[in-house]
Amino acid sequence: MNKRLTMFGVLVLLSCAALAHASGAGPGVGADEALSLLKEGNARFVSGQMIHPRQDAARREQTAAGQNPFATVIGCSDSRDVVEQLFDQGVGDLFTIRVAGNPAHADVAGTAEYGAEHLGVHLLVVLGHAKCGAVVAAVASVAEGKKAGGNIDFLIAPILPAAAKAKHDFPELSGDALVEKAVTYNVWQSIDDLFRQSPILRGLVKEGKLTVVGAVYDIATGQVNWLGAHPEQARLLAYASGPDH
Amino acid sequence: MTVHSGNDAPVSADDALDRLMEGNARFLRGEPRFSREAKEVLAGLTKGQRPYATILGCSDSRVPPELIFDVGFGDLFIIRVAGNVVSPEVMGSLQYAGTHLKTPLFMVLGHEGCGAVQAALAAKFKGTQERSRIQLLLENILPGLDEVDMQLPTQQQMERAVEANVRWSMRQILESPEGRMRLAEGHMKLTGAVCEIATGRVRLLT
Ligand SMILES: [Zn+2]
Repeated sequence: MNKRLTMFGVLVLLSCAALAHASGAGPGVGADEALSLLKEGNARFVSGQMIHPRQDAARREQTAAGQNPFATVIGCSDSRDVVEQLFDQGVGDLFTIRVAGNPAHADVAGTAEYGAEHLGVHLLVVLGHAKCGAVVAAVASVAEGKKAGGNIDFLIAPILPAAAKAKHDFPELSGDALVEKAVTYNVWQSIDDLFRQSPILRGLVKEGKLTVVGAVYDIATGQVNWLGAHPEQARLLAYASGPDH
Repeated sequence: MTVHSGNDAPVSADDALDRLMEGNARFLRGEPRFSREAKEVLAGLTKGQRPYATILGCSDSRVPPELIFDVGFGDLFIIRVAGNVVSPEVMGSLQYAGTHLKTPLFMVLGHEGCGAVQAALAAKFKGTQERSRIQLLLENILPGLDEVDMQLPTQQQMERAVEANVRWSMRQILESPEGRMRLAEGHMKLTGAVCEIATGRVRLLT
């Protein structure tokens, strides 16, 4: 047998093994490892060293029978919020929920439950972003009593508490600075709403099977800033609300 | 750096659909272009977004629209929930896209092997009950599955159900006051599509 070919074969096998490992994909990826994979991916994105992993035909065939994403991300619909690119991930890696303003209403909570309970994902990230149009509208509504009109008011309803809290806590701020605070508060609000609605998510966190963290993405630099767990997570886990059958 | 695919002059709904299908062809050939854009593109988008299409798709990790259609930052306004369901809240995001961003094209993108549709079928034909909010999610899907034949072989049943679910979401968008208005103005086009999970090929529904 051709020795060089054999060597090549070994190298291919080795690099496949390395890729499989680097993917972290598959069941049983813990929350810490999942968080590391996301941080590493975002670092590659920010430094311009993206590897665009797992996006080829082989990957699609490999995942055809079922998905094993290693993280769930709740992000915004904004066209600059391309979650898979920000974290330099590929096909089958991230269970991605996106609605304008990254709120956590019933469908989002149900989808997050599906990710955690059916797919066994151990990390859930609520990802807000700078200059979020939905948050800007909510802040304008609170700060200036501005009505956006009809359905848009409906859209920003879940964000209003965060906007009001930002205005209350930082009365000296306005404009972009106030929006920035509201974006962070809105991430906390979504996590609060998730736990308030979902006995499943509360239970999984209490059992140590799920980690829920917040993060904010800077659309100018691509940098994701990690906020960690909700500062009052213990209080949220004590909620008794939500459907349970 | 390549010329950015979006954020140029306004495009028509038909042009937007052509761009998406050309992008899907590049993705299938393994020659992606725009989805490989580096973060430098972001710097040009800090003032705002001007996406040319809005896609309502599923959260499934195997169907990220930006990869499948090989688009860059700023191109697509994306709503993703399990089973690409339309709820009042999802409608709010769609209406934001329609009235504020004025994207000419709207697409409902379902996919083969959708777990949410499969769970809804199980609820319909086997009476399986899901817990908590997942059940509420399925209740959004169930009305669209009325015409799916229980006697069909499992795989065919799933194929029909995935398509029926896309059409059900489309119908709900069309029947909303804003959907009707914007379609009547002739500026907006609504299309349905299904992504083949093993290949990544997007098939338009007719
Ligand atoms: Zn699906």
